[in-house]
Amino acid sequence: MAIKSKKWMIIPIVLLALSVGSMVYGVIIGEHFIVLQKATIICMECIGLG
Amino acid sequence: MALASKRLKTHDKRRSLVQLLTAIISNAYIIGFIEGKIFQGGTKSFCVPGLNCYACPGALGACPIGSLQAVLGSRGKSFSFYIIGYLAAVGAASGRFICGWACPFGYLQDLLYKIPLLKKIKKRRLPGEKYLEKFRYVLLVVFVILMPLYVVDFLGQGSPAFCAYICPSGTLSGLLLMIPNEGLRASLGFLFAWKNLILAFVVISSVIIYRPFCRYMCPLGAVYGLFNPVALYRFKIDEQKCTKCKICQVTCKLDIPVYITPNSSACIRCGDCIAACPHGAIIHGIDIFKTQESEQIEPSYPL
Repeated sequence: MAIKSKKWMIIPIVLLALSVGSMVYGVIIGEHFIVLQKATIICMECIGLG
Repeated sequence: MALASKRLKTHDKRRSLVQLLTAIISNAYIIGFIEGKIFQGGTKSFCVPGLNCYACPGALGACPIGSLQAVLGSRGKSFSFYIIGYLAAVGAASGRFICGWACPFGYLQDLLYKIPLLKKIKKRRLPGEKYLEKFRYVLLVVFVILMPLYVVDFLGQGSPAFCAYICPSGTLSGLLLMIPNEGLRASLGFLFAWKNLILAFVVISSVIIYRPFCRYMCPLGAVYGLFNPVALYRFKIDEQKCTKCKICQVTCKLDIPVYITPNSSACIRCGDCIAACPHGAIIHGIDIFKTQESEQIEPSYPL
């Protein structure tokens, strides 16, 4: 039971660590600038005009 | 039973308060609503966890689904480490907890469902529910991933297809923007009419069915739902306490048999089942790990 418990706890923690690593890498390569650029002008597609 | 009912009411009030606060915090740029313009500060490079369109006049952050399409649609990009990492991080931490507690569009549907005008379809699943539930994955793959990647213009820029043709959250934001903005009102066309039709369908069906958009259409819920069985925040049934009375399923507005599938990908983690369970048999959060260990240290025996 203890092994099973540890395994079930390790999976989300490993996933979380990989995800955070991926996010940090995304920021390093500047993907957040693409998001910023898109989010700070009125998105015509979103509101149904473009 | 009266105690469970009281607990459920208190729980509902608490969840509504959290949802309201989240919606206010996510859309706190009041000037935008008055002047018909959007916030342009640096916080918009960060995503909010729920479905909240960045074209909303009050939005302080970016929508993760819109952002994913924006990055995938950029020339030379075929993967987004930033957004996929973000979605996986939220999913691995909490699964669909965000859907139940912190999504402004989910909150809107909750409010609509509270309107006591029409007879509610809450205990029955719709005909073809099994297939309808899969529709959100189709929308995720086709409109959020494939179309921005492969349907490109002559500059190599992909279109945010889900935002453009489906998303009712964006349409609602558009309406809020257009009220004070005459320039935008002058540009209305067929696409706007189509998107308003979808918005009207979602709004009307939300009064009758609990959260139709979240159940059948939301690509964000589809992603988070995949993490429900492996997230840090999870449900577990204490087999020694559970009597299989099915009160959890009867209480669940999504009709999930929680006692059988506590980590269903359809579960939005609203927690109504936990509040309703008269036996306290649904363990949740990181407590499930504590229980498993305590079971080993202090085994309990039937009397």
